[in-house]
Amino acid sequence: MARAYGSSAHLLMKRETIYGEAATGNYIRIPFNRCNLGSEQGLIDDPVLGQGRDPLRIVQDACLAVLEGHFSGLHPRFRTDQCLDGPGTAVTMHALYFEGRGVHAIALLSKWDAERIGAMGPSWNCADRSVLVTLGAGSGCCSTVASKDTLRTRVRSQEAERSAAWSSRFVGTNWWRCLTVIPMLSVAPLAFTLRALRWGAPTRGLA
Amino acid sequence: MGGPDPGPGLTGAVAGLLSASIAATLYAANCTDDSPLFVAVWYPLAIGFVALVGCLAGRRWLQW
Repeated sequence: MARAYGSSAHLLMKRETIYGEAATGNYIRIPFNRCNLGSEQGLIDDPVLGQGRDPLRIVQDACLAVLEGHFSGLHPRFRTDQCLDGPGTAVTMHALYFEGRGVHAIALLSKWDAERIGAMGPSWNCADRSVLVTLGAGSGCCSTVASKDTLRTRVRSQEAERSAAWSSRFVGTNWWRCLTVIPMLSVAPLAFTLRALRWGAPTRGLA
Repeated sequence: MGGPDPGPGLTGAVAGLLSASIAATLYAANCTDDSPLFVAVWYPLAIGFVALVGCLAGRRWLQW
């Protein structure tokens, strides 16, 4: 499925009047910093028992589509006069629209949430209104599972990732090697230097 | 009388510092952790350890 990248990428959204049904008409272009769209469909064991020793075939789990979007300053720009009435654009971004259904309400909620969470740390202040939106889609129909709690969890987990990044930068992956290899490599130069200093020593003490 | 100026301990420490600096330069060419925080923490620890060993060695072998 083709997707637009770079400066040609547009994110179009529209509030759905009936939950679960795709809205039609002019979409609204949403400013965003970046987004990531992916999907996965795992395999689960068949829970049915009593069919002998042979295991039953595994079944496919529900398809999970995830859209992560970083929006900034969404609310002031979210006006209906930015509606795009070009059907070509709407068709082009149908995939994003399909996965992003319901993001509008969540994004506004996220902004409000981000401002509240902004009091938790300097990295989430009001000036940086980047929010993280998570959408889950069931197979067949797109249903929003993101909620305030989900968002808060993701935001906090990102905070934890940042802390983990700092600790990983501090500890690194081979700090022990650093502490052992440098002294080991120093043995020969140190011995040579000490030996060179000994060469300059008087044989019978200083006069 | 004392050893080489300005003293065996300091001379050995400088010798250790020189040796550790050479070793750290060689190691840095192969070290995958190039974070400034990592370099600022672990490299001085290793170099300081070698300098300490050099100080002790200087007191032991540069005393005459």
